[in-house]
Amino acid sequence: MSVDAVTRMATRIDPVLQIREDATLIRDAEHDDMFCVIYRPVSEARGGIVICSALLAEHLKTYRTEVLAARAFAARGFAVARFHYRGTGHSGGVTETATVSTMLHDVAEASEYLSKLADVPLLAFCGVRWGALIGGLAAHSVPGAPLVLWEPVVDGTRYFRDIFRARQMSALTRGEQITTAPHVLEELRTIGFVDVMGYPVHSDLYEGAAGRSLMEVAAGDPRPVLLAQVSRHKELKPEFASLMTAFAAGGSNVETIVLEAEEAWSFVGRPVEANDAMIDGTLPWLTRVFPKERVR
Amino acid sequence: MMHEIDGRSGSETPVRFSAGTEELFGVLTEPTAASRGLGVIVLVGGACSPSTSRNRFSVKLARRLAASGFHVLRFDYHGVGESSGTILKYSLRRPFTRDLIGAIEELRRHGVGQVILIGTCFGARTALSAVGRVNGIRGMAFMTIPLRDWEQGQRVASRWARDEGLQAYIRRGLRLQVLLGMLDAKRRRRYLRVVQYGMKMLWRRLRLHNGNGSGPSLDWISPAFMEGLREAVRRRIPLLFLYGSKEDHYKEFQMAQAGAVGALIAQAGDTVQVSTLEGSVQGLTTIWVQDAVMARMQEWVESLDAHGVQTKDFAMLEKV
Repeated sequence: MSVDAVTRMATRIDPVLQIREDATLIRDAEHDDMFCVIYRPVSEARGGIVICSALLAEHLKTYRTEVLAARAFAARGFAVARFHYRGTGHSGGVTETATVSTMLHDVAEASEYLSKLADVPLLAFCGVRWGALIGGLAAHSVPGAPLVLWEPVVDGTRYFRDIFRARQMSALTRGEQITTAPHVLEELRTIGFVDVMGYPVHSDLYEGAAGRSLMEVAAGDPRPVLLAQVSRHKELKPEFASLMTAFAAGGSNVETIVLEAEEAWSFVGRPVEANDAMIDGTLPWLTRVFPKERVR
Repeated sequence: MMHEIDGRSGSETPVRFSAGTEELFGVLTEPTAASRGLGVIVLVGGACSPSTSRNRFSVKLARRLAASGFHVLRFDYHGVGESSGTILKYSLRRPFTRDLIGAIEELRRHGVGQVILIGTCFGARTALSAVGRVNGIRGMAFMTIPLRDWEQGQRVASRWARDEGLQAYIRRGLRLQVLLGMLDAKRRRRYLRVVQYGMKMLWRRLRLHNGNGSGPSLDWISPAFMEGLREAVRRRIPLLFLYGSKEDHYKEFQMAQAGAVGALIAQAGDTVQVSTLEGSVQGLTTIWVQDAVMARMQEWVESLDAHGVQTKDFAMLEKV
């Protein structure tokens, strides 16, 4: 992996938060460029956090959430990496190249870049929605890495089922013909992608997500886990309760936050209202799970 | 070929530039073909959308135009994406002109003095607001540009205020559903915004003419829009208006042809082009629309040579 740091990096120093942001396009010989932003405190970082992005329209909605979180975490002494999966956002590559497998590779590359640039040996993974699933799957191969899950996608198959259902509802409200689930899958098989509210969901992405779940992470090595539920429900949703029970049963130290908010994750018209609550709820947990002194 | 170009980021560089007190973020895509000496700035809409936009529309447009010889800058408004700052509320009365001027100056720092602006909805109004404030605008393409002014959350209310008489507007507010809704704090705030908008419209209607030369029936047209359009026509800046045939913005555009807007467009002659797609362009909510809009934009931009003269005519787009 190499970075042409001189000509392809944009730096910002925040005088109030006392952090530095470096936005770059990571280039390596075998892959398309990957857009990545590194946030660092002015002092030595106590640890590193890799933030994994949401997908499709939810990425537009939660983009600013990730940026604000990264800035807040860096202001508290953490080095942070945010990135766009190859084939999405500002990264290189075409959309159909983005699969679960390539996304996990991208997380690994962002982690490596963060570790080298910020000299942090200990990493946590944080993600909202789809980013929580990818962050979790990435953390699965890093024993003991802390995990932050914001309104996570627990199961890949169910996520896409819900997305296709939302597509049907959208067609219904526009008075268009509804495509049934079998037809959607047939469209995936024959055409190779399905248009979901202006985003192509390619068959490779769909098939790669099938059967992937945070439950497999829960069955792995124990680690500190924070789950923030952001919905209109006052109680923890059964899906999340089962997930956290599974993590606890595996020896993980688990905590949950329930934030009542009406968030339509695919509706881009308004920012995420629960930004401050998610970030403020996560910061104390991060400062608890990371040792005060750097682990060398 | 086009498809491969969409993934090429080799000529891209992240940039930071000042706009007032804020520090904005953008991505500059340099030409991957012989440079035409022209820049393009892509301005996204106002719904807190980062500069990538839906399904990377702005990213792909930038890379395709760069492959055709243009320098392209896509950027995040203040308070959005990677930029600094906070947005309290979007308002078409207050487009982000300062942000755009910062972007234009950033292109100038890279040696590009002539610029074409491509804006969507709020971005289109922001583009129009720069006319007369900066030199070197060689063309402007407006996707679904609104002619009314409204603030975030007031789009429907402002349309009611225009389309319904005062009595109907008040009757709507006295419905049981609305009255019960006043018990909820969130809805109460929303309804009060609707009332505020209605009062503003009433005040404007009390004046016979509001400067757009069209009388009370077209008094809903934004004075800022009229001012920008007049200046653009006066300067003979090539303009492209692109709408979806079923959009309320297009309906308003058609209604406005009866007044000063129509007169200005007629005066502009062939420097103004109007294209429509079947359905809706707003939100770019289908891949077909994105592809059609992108092709149209690319075709129009490429037709502008360095002197801002269009070299070909355009036909109405139809759904394939």
